[in-house]
Amino acid sequence: MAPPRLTVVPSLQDLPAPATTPEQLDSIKAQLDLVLLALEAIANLGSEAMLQAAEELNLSEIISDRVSLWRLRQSNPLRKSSGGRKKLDIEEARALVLISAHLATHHQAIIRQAIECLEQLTEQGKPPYAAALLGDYLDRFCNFYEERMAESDAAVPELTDLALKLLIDLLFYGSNGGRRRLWLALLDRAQAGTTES
Amino acid sequence: MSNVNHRYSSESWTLDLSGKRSPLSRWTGQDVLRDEEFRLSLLGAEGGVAPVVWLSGDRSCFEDLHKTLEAYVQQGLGEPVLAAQSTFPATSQQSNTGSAHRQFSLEAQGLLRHSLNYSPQDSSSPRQMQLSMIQLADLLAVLDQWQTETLALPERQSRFRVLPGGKDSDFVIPTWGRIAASLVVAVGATGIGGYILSQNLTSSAPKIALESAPTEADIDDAASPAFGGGPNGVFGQFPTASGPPITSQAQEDSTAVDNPPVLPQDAQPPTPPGIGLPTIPLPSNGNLGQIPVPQQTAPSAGSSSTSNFPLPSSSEELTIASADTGIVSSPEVTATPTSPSADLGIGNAIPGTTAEAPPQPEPTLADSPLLESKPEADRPIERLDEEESFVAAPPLIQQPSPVINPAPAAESAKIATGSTAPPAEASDLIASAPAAATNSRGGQPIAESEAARIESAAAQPPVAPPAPQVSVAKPLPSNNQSRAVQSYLQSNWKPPAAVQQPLQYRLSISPEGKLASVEALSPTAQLYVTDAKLPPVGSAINGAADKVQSTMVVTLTPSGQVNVAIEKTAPAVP
Repeated sequence: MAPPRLTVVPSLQDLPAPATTPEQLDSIKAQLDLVLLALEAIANLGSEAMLQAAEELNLSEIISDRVSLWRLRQSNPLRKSSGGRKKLDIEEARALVLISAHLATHHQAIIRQAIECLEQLTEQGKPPYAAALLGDYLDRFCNFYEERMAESDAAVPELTDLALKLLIDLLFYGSNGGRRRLWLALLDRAQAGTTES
Repeated sequence: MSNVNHRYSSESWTLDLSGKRSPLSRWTGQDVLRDEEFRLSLLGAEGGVAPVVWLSGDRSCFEDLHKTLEAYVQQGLGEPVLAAQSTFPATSQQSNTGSAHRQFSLEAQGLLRHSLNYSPQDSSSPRQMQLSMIQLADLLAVLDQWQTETLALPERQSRFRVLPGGKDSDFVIPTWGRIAASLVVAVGATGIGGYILSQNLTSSAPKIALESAPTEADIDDAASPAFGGGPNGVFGQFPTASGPPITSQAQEDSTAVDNPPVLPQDAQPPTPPGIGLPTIPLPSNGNLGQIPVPQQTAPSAGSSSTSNFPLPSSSEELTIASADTGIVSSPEVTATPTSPSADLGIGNAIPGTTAEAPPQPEPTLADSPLLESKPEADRPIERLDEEESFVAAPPLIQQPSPVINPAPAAESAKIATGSTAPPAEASDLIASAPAAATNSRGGQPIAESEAARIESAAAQPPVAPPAPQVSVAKPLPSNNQSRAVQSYLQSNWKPPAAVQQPLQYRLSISPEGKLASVEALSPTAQLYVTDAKLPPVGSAINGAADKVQSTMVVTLTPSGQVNVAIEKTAPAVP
């Protein structure tokens, strides 16, 4: 007889918490905000969905309401007027990782569909905008980026590349070990950024 | 332990796992399994044709695959994501992993394509698959699912592989045990040597005194390489009553030795029989390294005794040497020494290469298993069948043939060169001496000739291995199902012109007469699965209903023939 399967709610403790420098935390904040931006764009999400995810993950103590979520996201140094906002600590970063992976899992179907579209269009040599799903995603992503980020005059091709890269990443964040992958990727990027600088 | 089957599925992959569930599962909350077998099938890759098993094997193989995928994906995710740095996936992105005998690698090809390569080092048929991003994610998801839901019960592993009788053993010698054994050997050899030395000194002194004026012929004989009068001849190594004149004479004749490079500077050959001077092959200062290596073959009369070797100082070295010398039969010759642990892990010591090998009177270099470089085609067919029938598909997971390891082999050959039979007590003490001792050749630098042989082997054109075939050991009598399948395929099989070798598939027919599963048994078979015109999985075959479920191997020959052999039948479950 098979052993009973237990449903485990992801916990912050699942993610290692290495010592991070302020520069690395800045990088993590920026990357996380972009992941959430991509999720918003592909699944047409708002802050309500993120708060609900926080509740489902028992993270309401860390992200209790819309204001706290907004403050966390505003800590992204790439954001317009990010100075003076609350500093993101490592526990809050881990909470946002859990929320991102949770949302990616919930919206895996549409993410997958978008990737399939992208594969087909690429094989056919057509631009991503040729598919409505991808076109809408790219439009929303570019709009959000220009609205919120300080570097709002980024070229469209660059933003398109960024949006597609984030979309592909979401495919993996929504899988079984997605939250761990996202967290490790954030740490890797932060470390790489620190090394380069 | 109860048998258990799991299936992990995504939209493009299915991983089937069968194994035995340990009672420990009750306490872990997860399935704890052992003796696991895996089959990974790609769904829908052949356009409506039945899913084909792409890979099958054991846990270690699939763990290798999982690690490769993990590393590759994590590397891709770790790429900078900010606009100026967005290059996912980098075209140079590559991930390799695996042991010395299996290797998976992934390589990005363009924006959304990935090439998954599987190249078992013993196989001439590496496999490659182009994966889309979705397939890559699905494959990783399936493997993640498996890793999350099951635990493996570690297999017992033996570190000390070779025992008298050539059988593997579960007996593991701890490090302290090896040290203690080495000490016992050293102390014992010193004591025995000291005793013999004292006995010989007392008994031979008068004799030497009597013979202290040897004839010229005697001196010539003593100085000749054939009788151990080499540069480090016994005369110069041990105190004798006859003193310096003979020693210097022997040393002056040292240029007559054929193979000085092979000899350690402090080599001390044992005394050849028949010479009338007291020569005692004893360790000096109790140094174990001076004990001659046991010789498995009787020394020929003309063999040089100018070589003597340090004994590996611990049983661990002995084990490694044995394992190294047990490596044969790979078509691939590499100059890179493999790690001893990898060699040990193979556990496929070839009979005849261990210390327990039956003595061979005159081993030649060609006979030496160390230097064999047989292509896989030369392997006994029984072995191929045994390996490949287990995994069902030849390019899948096989127990790989070890790789020749020239460097250790050369060392072993050097060790064996010219050594003579050791004293009986030393031979007893060193039960698992390197098998390379069988390569003893009188005074010939084996390492050089071995290198030449390997070079010549490498220069020869490779022999194409035959298409791996799965043979059913004892086909069961035909039944309705096999006859129906035979009839169906006979009328549908039109061999394409490009097919040069038989295609084999394993079919499973349900009692209702439906095709339950199809498995290609070779890469070629997989390639031509569409041309094989097999019925779709789940479809009923006319006349195939029976009271049993049959598994059969179907062979489609290039000449258009169809052979069906029933592997096994199981009664229908009501």
